[in-house]
Amino acid sequence: MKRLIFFFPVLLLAQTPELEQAHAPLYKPPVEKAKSAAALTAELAPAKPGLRAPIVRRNFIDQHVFGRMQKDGIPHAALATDEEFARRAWLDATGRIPAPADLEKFLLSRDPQKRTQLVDQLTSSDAFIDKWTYYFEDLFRAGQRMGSGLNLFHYWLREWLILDRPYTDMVTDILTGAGKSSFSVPAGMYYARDFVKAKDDPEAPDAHDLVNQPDTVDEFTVTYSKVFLGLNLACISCHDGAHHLEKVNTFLTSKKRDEFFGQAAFFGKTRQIMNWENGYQANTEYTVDDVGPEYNSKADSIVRVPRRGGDASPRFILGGERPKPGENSRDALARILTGHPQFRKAFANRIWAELMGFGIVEPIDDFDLLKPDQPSNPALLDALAADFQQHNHSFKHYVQTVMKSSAYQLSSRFDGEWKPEYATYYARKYVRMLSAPELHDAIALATGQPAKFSSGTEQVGLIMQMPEPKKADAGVQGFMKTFGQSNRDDMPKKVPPSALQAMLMMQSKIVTDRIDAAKPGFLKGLLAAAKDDQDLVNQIFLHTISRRPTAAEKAVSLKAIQANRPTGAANLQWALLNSPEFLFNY
Amino acid sequence: MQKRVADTLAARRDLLKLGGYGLLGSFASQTFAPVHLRAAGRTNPRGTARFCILIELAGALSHIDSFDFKENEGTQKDFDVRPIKNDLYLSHRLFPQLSSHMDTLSIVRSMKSHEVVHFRGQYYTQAGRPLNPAQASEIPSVGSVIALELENQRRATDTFPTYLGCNLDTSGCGALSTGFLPPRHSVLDLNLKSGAGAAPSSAEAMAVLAERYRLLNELDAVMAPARAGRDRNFGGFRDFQKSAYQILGDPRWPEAFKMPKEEIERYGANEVGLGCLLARNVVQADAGTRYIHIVHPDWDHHRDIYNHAKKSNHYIRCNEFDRALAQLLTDLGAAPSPRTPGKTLLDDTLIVVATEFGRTPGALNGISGRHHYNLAYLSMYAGGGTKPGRIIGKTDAPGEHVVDTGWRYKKASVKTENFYGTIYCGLGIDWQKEITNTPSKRAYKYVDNLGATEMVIPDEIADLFV
Repeated sequence: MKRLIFFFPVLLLAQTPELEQAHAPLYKPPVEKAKSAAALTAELAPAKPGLRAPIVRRNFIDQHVFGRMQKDGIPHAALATDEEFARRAWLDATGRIPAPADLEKFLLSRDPQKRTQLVDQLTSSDAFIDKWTYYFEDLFRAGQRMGSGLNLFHYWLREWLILDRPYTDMVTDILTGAGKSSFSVPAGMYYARDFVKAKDDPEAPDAHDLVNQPDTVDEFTVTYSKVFLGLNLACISCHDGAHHLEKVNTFLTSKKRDEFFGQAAFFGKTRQIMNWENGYQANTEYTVDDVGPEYNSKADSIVRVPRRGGDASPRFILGGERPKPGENSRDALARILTGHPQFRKAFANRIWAELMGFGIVEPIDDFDLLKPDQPSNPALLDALAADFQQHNHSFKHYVQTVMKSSAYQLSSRFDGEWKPEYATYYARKYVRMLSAPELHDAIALATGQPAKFSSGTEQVGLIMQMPEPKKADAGVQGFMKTFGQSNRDDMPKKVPPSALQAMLMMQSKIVTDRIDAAKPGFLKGLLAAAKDDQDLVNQIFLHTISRRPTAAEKAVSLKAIQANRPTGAANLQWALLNSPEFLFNY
Repeated sequence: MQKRVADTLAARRDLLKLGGYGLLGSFASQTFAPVHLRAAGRTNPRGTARFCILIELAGALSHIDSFDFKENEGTQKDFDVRPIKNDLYLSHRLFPQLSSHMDTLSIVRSMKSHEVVHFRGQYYTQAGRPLNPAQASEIPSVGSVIALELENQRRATDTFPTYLGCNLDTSGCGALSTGFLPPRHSVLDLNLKSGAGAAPSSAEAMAVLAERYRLLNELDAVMAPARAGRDRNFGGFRDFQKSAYQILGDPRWPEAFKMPKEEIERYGANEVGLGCLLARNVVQADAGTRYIHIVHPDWDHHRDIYNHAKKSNHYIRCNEFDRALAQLLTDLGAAPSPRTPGKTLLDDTLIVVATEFGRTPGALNGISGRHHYNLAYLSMYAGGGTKPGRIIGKTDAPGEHVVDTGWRYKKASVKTENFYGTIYCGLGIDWQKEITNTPSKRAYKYVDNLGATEMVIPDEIADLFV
């Protein structure tokens, strides 16, 4: 921390007055993503005049969030209802919609601590492990490129979450994995799966230098810097920041390409040796070691601007710390990186964004450390990072802390006139669409018809239990891809809404087969067992959108069912599956 | 000096506001302000084609074994090479059906690219400009620009999306987004091989859908109070549901997907065969789609390019493509144009065949394949007002370098920008238009003269039209 405080003023002094003046009008408050989140939420749940409910401040997060609103006179939404909170908590913690029995138990409970207890319960469940393993597999691009190492990596990640090992330990393992990647050290897969080949298939089996060259290291450095530091070093991997990034990122404007070389050089000596069988590269096994030559800042480049030399001794991009004498450079990287405040902030911001709709810093993998109005709530981000560190970098504890705050529990309904400036105050819950795997699994759960996916020797019913979603059948893959499932070769990204998404929800077999009342599942069972039509309607609503119908909704639904009971029931569930209350996390 | 340079750079904070931010960003951009178009007016948008079908051979076609045939140590004994005309030869083994369409097809043999990497090359092929990572999230695919331009030509009865894709998700860069353009111009990308055709299977299925959609609307009307006063039109996704239902509800949609067994056999049950068959049906339906981008993947034969024992090789790919294109040319050429008496649907449809670069000429490499080669490759054209059988440009004897560009610019090879100029020209769109109110404030020229490594002449390949 001390080093950082020293660091910033030095850089600020280095800026000329003209540069500062030129920058000032370019900076807008980071409300863009927040604005659109708020705009979408406003459309779905527009403001109405009414009372502002008093909010209990449950933890330090609330002090920062509501404290800032109080200071700036910003109104906020009321707390979410129990139904809103329940569905949201289930989805955010476990990636699943609640089973009606569990939901009703929660709704009927009168325990004043029930929300806190629910968070504890959900974050200690198997489904929590499933969902977040899947999340990190998307993030670490654990896909087919890992070959036979994928299953091991999957179980290694699950183990980390089940044991609640410190996040810093996991990142250290992932950056320092060595040995035969798929068998002895699953963590080695994160690096080994990333390579840029000089030619797509080296003709000489022993031509390791074609694989292990600075371009590979550069790509990986850019990747892990985004993931673990929230810094996008892609631009300075090719050229100095000056004369390029003035309008893009002030902090990186002052960085030179050889500082990037210095960061890349932590992996400079690392090699990945692919195994060869019968004249074919067996792209499924790699040996990772650290006996290659040092990073060469004059080496040829295939996908980057030619390297023209520069200091390529390993040194951390933030602060310039070097490996200790005799320390393996990757060990040094893991030590420096996981101990750095920016590491904690990047993590805190990323998971906060996942749970709250958008980050305190946006984009989450592109901090500008010199931008005056970034982060939108610096004290909050610092407090989140500090709390994470104080609790032994426990991922589970961090998620619990955020979910237990009142800030997390605000409704998406806002009383009063909503203004775009309110966005970064988190004055209401921002809605988001269900992710691709959430959507698939929610359809399976709502209809009581799990899929039949083969995962190794097991059969699983939900996509979030699969180590590799690409092993699902083509129809499921197509569906998931349309809703933005990452291919796990690239970094995950959001996809825009499309007519194809709407078309698939309306008549993909993934939906229509499951609401076939003739198939064994929820509807078939319910048609036989329901006490009466009212009960049928209630159950369909509970199973699908996790709440009971209003009187008006019940009237419409009963009419549909009375015309033809099985058809009406199927149609009703279809309509609910295509309504925003199913498709969105609100 | 510093200030001027800074002025032209992307303001990335703004860039990331739209397009790449998925749901949130795109809903906001539904209300995107009308784009400013500044026409340069130096072009001649001929407008000879109502439709355009782009077939992308993703992975890179070997130019010297195909339509710029050169005999060399890599030539296989079973190629059955036959002379076509002048210096043009063609392997009958690889292209049996297209051999009889060589009077129709025009070939530009003088293409050159700066790209050697698939992802970047395929991005270039879809975006019509080299990849610029700083700007990429705001750059739309060319198809989306075409959808924007042709939007005001949509009739009340049109339901199909203007821009249709087949297997774009198999391309290395996937289906590119609409960038800074509103989401309604996005591609509807169908993966036919995996069956994600998104078409109701029968009239009964259509009736069931209609009943369900009616219930959805009815329920939505009463769910409003539970959504705190939200009105029926809850914006973004609802709009997509409406346009989706319009498409699904149009009986012409399932018709387009009706593919009897004989037709599938004729075209081939593979990505390009099914894509061309669907494209033919969509062109015949004329229900709103004007631009179709079909991707035929898996051409990247670095090894065993002509090994019959391999599941994937150039024989198989060439035959698949040969059959599909030949049938498409035949069917469109036989169908009369409903718009212009005496003309055919082929006259109304510009067909373009693109690939991201060529493959190494000469002998096969050490693993019996061919690697990437960017210094000479080709593209092909048919219909849509182009003159048939034009052979433009020439490479040297081994097929390594362009020796005659074949068009008015003797010193400039033909680039991807030029084939898009040709497409825009055929569709009647002025491709020197600019959109000035982009998030980065950098003007988006439909065909840009700022190439990756050098300035590019942004002309159409006029020699195809005159």
